[in-house]
Amino acid sequence: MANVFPRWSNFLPIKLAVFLVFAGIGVVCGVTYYFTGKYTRVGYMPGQPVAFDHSLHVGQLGMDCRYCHSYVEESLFSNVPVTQTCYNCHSQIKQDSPKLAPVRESIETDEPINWVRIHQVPDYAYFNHAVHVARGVSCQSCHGQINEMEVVYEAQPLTMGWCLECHRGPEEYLRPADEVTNLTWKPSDENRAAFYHELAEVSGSSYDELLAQAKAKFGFEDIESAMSQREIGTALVDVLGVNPPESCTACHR
Amino acid sequence: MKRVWQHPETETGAKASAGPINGDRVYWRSYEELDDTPEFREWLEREFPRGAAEMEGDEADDVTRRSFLKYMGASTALAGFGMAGCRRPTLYLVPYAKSVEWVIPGKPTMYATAMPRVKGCMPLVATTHEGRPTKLEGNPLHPNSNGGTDAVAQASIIGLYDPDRSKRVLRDGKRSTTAEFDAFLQEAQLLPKIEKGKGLAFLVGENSSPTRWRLLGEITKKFPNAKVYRYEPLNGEPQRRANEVLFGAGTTQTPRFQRADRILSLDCDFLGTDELGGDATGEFSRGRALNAKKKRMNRLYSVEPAFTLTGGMADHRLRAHASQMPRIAALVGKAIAEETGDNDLQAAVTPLLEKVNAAVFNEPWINECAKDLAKSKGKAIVVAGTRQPKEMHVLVALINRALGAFEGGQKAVIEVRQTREEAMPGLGALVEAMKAGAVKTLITTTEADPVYDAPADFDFATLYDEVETTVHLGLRANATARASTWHLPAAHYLESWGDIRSVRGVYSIVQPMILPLYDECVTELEVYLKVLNPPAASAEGGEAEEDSGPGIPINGMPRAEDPGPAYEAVKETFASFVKGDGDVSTAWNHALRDGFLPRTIYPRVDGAIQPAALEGLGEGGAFEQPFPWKDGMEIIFATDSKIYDGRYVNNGWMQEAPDPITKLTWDNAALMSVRTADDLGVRENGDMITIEVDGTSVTVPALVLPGPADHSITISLGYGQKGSGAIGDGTGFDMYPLRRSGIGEYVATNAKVTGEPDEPRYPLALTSEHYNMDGRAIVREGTMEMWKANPEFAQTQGMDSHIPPTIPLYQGPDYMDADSPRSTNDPAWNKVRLVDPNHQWAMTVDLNTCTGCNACLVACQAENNIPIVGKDQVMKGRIMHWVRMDRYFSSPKEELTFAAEKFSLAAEEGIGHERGRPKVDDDEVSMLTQPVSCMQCESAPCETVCPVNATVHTDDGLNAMVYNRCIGTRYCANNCPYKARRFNFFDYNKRPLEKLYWGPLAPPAGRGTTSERLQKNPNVSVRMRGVIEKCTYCVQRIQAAKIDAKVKAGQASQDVQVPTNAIKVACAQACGADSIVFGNLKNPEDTVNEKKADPRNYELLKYIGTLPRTSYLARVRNPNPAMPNAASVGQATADMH
Repeated sequence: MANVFPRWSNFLPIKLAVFLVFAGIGVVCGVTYYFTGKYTRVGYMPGQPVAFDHSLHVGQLGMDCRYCHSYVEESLFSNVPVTQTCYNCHSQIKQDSPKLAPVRESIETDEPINWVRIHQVPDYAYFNHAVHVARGVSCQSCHGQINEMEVVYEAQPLTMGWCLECHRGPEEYLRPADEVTNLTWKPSDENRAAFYHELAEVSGSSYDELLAQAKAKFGFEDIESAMSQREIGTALVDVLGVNPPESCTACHR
Repeated sequence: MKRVWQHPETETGAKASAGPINGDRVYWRSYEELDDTPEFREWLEREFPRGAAEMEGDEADDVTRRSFLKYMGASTALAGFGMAGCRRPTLYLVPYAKSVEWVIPGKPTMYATAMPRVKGCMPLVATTHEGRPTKLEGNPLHPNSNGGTDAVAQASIIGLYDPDRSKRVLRDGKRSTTAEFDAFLQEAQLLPKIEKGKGLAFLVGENSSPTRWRLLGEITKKFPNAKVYRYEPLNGEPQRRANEVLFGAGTTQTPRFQRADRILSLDCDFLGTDELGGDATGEFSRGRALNAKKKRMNRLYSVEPAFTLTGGMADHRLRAHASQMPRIAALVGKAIAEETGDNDLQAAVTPLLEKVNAAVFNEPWINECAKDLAKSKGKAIVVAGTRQPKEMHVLVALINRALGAFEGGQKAVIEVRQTREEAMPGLGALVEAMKAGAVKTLITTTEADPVYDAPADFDFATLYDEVETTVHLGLRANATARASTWHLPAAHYLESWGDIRSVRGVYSIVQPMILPLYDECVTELEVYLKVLNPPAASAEGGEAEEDSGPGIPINGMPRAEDPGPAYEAVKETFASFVKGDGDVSTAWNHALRDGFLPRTIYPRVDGAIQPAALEGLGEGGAFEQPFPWKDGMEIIFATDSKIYDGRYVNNGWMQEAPDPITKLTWDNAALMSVRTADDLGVRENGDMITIEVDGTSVTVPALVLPGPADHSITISLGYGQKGSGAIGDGTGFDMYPLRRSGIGEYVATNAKVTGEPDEPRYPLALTSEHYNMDGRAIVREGTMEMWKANPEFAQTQGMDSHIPPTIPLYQGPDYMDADSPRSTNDPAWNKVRLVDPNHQWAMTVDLNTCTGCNACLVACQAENNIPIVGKDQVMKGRIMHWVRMDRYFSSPKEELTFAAEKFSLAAEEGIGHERGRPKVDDDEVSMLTQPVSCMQCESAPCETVCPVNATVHTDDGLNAMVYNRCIGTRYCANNCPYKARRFNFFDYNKRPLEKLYWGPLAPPAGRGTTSERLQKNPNVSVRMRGVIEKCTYCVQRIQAAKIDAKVKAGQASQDVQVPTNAIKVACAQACGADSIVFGNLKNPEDTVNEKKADPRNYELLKYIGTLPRTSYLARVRNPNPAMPNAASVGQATADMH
């Protein structure tokens, strides 16, 4: 009887095993890279030409985000400050600090400072800062506790799934629009009475009704008890109709 | 569910469905379609025809499927070695060092400006993103604009970013510098040597810039012996001379079409290439509009030698030879004189009639037309083409006077105004002076290219060479630039300070959007200023500096606040226009904001015709042109609808925009009728013919279309330029060598034309057969009579009258009712809002006013980053335009028989496959146009077949296209009944068009510069290879408007709705005729709802149940019942079913 299996098939199992080992390594590498924060660059913390310390300026000095990122409420792009903005203060204070040499140089030569970009969504995703800020998405929701960062790093994955999490369930993230740039805000800071009074005024409905609705839903015991994020978010979504779009064209054009 | 169709009986027994034959008229887009050849069938039945899918071997590129795969494999392997894919590049955020006024990063800024044109200007609003202009729109504030633009204005923006633009000062064709030119001006080579400017001459273009006139005046004052000549190859000089004798020097006639009830065009394509200036399309369409309130419309008669947009819009069209127009005008004059009893006209016409053999013209047509015009005395206009001779214009003015067109003061249908322009000698005078050796230094600033486009009998190139010093200013390094001693690169109008007066005189400002991209660019005004005030010897020793040294560039626009000398000059002129003791600087700021200075219209002059005008009316040969026939044909040198006289030859958008009539891209061709073609033995489009005029001959491809006069060949100018750049090189054929000055300048008669059966057929990239819709009632028309009897006539045309009920198995959301159970999808795991209760987008296109001018097509290209694909790809059916401008011809069905004699002839000659041509009565053909883009079907067939959900429906009723999801199966394109989807077969945006087949091995596009990228709209993805794309209703504009509304509302609004009519999509905004209306169905105030309620509204292919959001308003023609061919007007789709 002739050989059914040709000679080369003797080595087939070994070849297969070697292949499987390599394939396995590939899969492991792939998963480690693509399925974890490494791919999404969470934690990406490049050095900047000027060691600007957010924890000092925002955390300690209490500067508002919009002093430097001045067009965040108007434009799709939250601008990084022009050198002139830095110089407004630093022409008076710490004029000679060696850390500020690039700023002085930029002012003198009119050449801009090249800040390293940290937060980047793909070119085919059109994120708009102005509308998020106007509708009550805090800076902190996407950028993390900037006020505690000495060096800014990417705090959130900025993936599509992550975006959709909020677009599908905005209750978990929305806050009153005037608290958007308050990075230390907590839901428990809100005064329930004041919150519903304002809500009633804006929406034109009755305060008592809103309060009763909320009570029915969240069953808080007394009006002074701490508010939860879900309660605030639900009120904003249901009463004011903050309704984030979920169709593709919202971000892709 | 199978639907049963009950087609009504037809009297004529026409073929029921397949094929383009329906009812008593047929409509079709090319002879091949009418003929229904097997090749045409095959072309049609494939989504992306011929070779599109197979990658079959291509002779031109010599890349076969196999070698392509080889290259691809190799390059993929190489890409792996580079490790480029492993690290993401570090990106930078680069803010300004100091804040820039008005600039908010990410927000566009708009500035008013104006595009100088040969006649007046096109008022514009330029959109700039962080300082780079990306899009041009009309300026609705401007008195001479309704906010629309045209294709040329839309495409002019890539002229700015053209990689082949002239960038350097050249001396004898070699690299030089601005400093050297300044030194040359200064160091006695030019100015001091010339005694009072003796021997100094300027050749300037047509331009109504007051500052330019002022500076030229100052120059001639400073150098009294200097001479200024004016030259444009297609300027309509005869008309100007006619106006001079009729109403005095510097006068213009402006027809106000919106005031006219009856319009007769004698070879005047005022809706297309024959720019009368101003807003002819807008005005005409206002007189044409039809709605619930306005139930009257104008009537347009057109006499023309080949189809034009005007002829397509006409209610009655007469085909006639261009050379015979004066004779026809005489016949019209005779009839009008009889009707109106105008003795002066009678007296003027009588001697002319001796030269007219009325029998060869369609006299009943002319007489009935004249009667109709006379009936609307005071509201009738006759317009003559600018290419017609002076005598004809004088005669037409007499006719207009008899019709009372100049009467009525403010309300006159033709306004006569006094411009400030002075009479100026033309090119002929310059040539005389050059021959006499009187020109030593010639400074050429005209945008034309005289060495290339001057009439051949001038032998301009030789004379130009003999001039001692020639200086040329131009955007392109064209033939004149190469022949000149000095060439200065010109600044684009979007980089220049200037001013311009619109055709009616409104003082408009040309405002720069950006500093010149190349340091050495100068504007025309700056050249004059330099001649007036020669620059001081260059500061630091005057040595030639390196390329872009930090010195102050010639344009005088340094980095500091000083905006340059041209700015000062314009401002000085401006001050003289501010009336009374007005505050000049306030007025200036307002003018910059609005784009114009109000109350600066040219003064009106009395429309009385000077008696001297009539002298010599019958002389000059205008009325004695030989009647064209087989052995002595007429050649019409036409203005090209895309590249004008050749100056836009390197503009890719214009080259690829299909000609509105011929649907030809990337070329020109000899347009002729079937009869002419038969006489010449031309069998198919692209067969070569030789045209000989006065001993010069040119061989060009033929293009056979219905509608041209027999033995009249129309061919456009401007092609066949050498060294014009990567786009323009190798396109078309140069017709200028055939052109002679004098009466043959626009129309040559007695030309010998012969067929060249031995020449290989020239491939023509025609788009008329792309994406055909196979003879259904796609475009619809009727007549005033039909409309009055039944305003809903369009809704019963085609199959719409007998659609069987649709019983759907599955129904999508009810987009007009957000609360309907169908409109919600609320499973516990995911609450999805399927329908937006506040926004549902829709569009209407009014075919009654759509002329088919291509403005929407090019505007869409500019807005949506649509690439051009090149001639080769166009021929493969891969053109990318999202808007397809369909053009249909319609003719009576009786004539649809194959010419029997042709059949037998073919048989005798043994030409096997020759089938003869379908016989069409050229006199009865009419034309219809229709822009078609994605219909945004509510029940879209494309969405259901996409395997990756790359095309889905949005809650506001858009058929969204998600490029980043698309994997390129093209199922959607295959399933689209409207053929509105386009596929990126190559990286058209990324690779040079001639190296597409090189794939990743090709160098990046842009010939070494990245300037082209600056035009891209940052709010639209630039698509890559392998992705389907299509119209999205300018979703970026919709989103921007929605976001604006939401930002304004903050958190405090339950129902945010975009304000009424807040969104203008690019095509609607560009439409000069206001035919396209876009809006929100959920806002009853939006105009689109009014249009949708119009009884003329119909949907394309309604019976297939796609529920398209775009719908059309049928065209209504307004025939004169007394006309000989009245019965067949407007009947193209009347009895289709």
